[in-house]
Amino acid sequence: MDIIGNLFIELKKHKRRFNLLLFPLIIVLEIAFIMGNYGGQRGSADGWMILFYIIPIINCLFFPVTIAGFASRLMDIEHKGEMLKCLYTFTTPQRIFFTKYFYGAISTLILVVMQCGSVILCCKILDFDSTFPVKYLFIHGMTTYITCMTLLSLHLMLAYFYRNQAVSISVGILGSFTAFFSLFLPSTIIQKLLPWESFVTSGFITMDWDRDTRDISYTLCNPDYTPVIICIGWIILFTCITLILLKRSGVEETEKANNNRKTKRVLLHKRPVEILKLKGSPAWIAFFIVPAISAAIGTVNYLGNISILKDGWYSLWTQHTLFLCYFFMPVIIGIFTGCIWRVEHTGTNMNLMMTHQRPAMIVLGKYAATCFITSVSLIWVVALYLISGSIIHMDGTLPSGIIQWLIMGILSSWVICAFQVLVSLVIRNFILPVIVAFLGGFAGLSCIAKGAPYLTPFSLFDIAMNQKELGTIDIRSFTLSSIIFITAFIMIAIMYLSCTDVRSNE
Amino acid sequence: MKKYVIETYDLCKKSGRKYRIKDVNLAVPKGCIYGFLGPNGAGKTTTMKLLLGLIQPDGGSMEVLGKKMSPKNRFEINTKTGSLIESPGFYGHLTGQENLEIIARYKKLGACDIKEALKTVGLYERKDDKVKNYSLGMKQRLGIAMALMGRPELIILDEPTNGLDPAGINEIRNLVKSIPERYDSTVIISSHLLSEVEQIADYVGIINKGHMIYQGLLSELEIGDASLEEVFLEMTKGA
Repeated sequence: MDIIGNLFIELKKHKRRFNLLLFPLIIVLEIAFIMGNYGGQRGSADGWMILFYIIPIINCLFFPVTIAGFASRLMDIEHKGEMLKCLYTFTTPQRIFFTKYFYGAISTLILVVMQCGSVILCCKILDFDSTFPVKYLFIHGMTTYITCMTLLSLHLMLAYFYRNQAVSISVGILGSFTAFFSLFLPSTIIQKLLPWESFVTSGFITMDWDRDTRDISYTLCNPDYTPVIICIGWIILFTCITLILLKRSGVEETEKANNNRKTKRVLLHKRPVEILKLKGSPAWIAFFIVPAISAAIGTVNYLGNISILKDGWYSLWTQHTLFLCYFFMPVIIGIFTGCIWRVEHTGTNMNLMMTHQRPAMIVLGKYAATCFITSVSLIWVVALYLISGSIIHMDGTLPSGIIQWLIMGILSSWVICAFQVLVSLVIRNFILPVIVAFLGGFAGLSCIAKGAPYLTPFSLFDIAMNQKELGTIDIRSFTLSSIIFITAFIMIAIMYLSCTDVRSNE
Repeated sequence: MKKYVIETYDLCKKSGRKYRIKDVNLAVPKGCIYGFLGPNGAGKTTTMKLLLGLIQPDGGSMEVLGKKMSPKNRFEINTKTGSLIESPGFYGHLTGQENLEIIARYKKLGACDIKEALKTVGLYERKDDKVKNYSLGMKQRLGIAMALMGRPELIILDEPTNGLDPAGINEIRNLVKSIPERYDSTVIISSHLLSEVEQIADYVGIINKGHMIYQGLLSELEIGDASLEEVFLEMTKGA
């Protein structure tokens, strides 16, 4: 009974926070994605198999981020208001954690039920045969639920023990990308071990693609329960770790140790204020590490597929940058702008900031810092490309357009920076803007697929960096679109900051 | 004729349909220490935020340092003010000195101003510690140091002695008392420690449930032997 009572308290805490709205949003996005891709195959007899094949793959991209975002929202309220200090005086850490876990488990069940409903809905809309055996819907629901619970166990633990919510969301995004990209590699046991990938590895539909006839056929096989069992193992492991950590936990002041470094004089720093505020923050590291990982994977992939990739230096460029531009860069920019606004959104810092600086200068300062680090990162991408090309003794000449790609890439990345600066200013939560950036990457991709690359900041960036692959761009429209976007986003941000009431202590 | 640094005319601020403050008319003479009093939730912080342009009024207007407050003029006015509103703002991962350096950069001040501010509030010895490791009182001192930096013409302090020890309260009281003479500034100080206000303020304004119920010289408010506390309790009792 106690746990039920605590659950009601938890529900009260989340009043007016609309946490569950995140779930229908993701389901609607998934349905939209399926409609966009399979809308033309009406009446297909094995249509339901298509759904059970594609939905786990989409889940593997979207669900880890959704669960990470949800777990972080559950915990963020306690960290923000320093409530743990107070809660620890009348309840135990275990009770606090497991009430949240229970609340998360019920919410995740709602998500999975919504997803099962969406399968039937998609069948109806796409005119697919919906008389498939119900047991498959049940198996799909069960495997999805167990995978989601594994992710919830991990992310709630991270969100509970790390005040900085960037940790949880970064793990979610990294997991989702790792799982998605490893789907393209030959299947090994490692894939079954990855909890993020269990959405797909526990599936029961396989796809065959005939290279000659270009026919796609779907086959029903026996469900593989190994990933599900491994997931249960993960849940037990994460729960044990959480229990140990909870036992040790107390409200301790972090880093209470005093600084021994004493200076005799007041020495001023030379770096710009916005950069000074980020001192000690790891936000910028991703800008250098992620391109390096992307370059390493790209180079290995290039060497592995040298028989198909015949364009030499150009193929290497595509391998290095394609996924970086589609998915990673927008997310890293989102995390960075989240970090630079978070310092202002904390406590009463916004009062301090707004009494000392013009709104325009605040926005431009943040924007300049983001643009600077993004530009340096893109130059680093080119440097890595040149270095790895020389290491593998690439023949031929460098693509002639590389300087142009870089310049246009930098310009279009500034558009994403402007967009994210605006989003992170308006949405005070750290996680939601990162999810917006994550979804933006997909939106950009679909805009390019639909032949409208100038419509979103993200597609501008994709096309600028991969012109040969995605089609040559019209420089005039590109520049015009970029400038309009940048001006609009920055102006809206400045107006928002000037005209709305300053919110603090929220 | 008296010169006012702040004049408000029927200032209103709503939250939803309810008025947080209604028809507030403040008049703060130049060079004085103005004690702004009221029970919790009476509208003191809301009024102070309006005076700094941090929030926009839903009715009425105000002149601060001779200029009409508006989103356009806000920054120009605020370059001549120093403030500590609600609790102090700070960047916890930076040291006390680095926090003041950020303010100094915005106010275009130098290393000597930072040193002076640190010494004034007694934080010089702890300047190289991260602010997140400061005690509540030390954070409050840092907030006061930020408000005093650059010797602004108008200083707005919202419950500046929160979290300070008795010695600290005494220190800040003496500091605030000396400000008009030292910096040639006007100070508005809100507090619910009435005995404290009684010792330093020249003028007082009392606000209750969003309405001003008294404004004038402190000496005129105290009738006979009654203390400020007794008068205050009497005034805010039924209102």
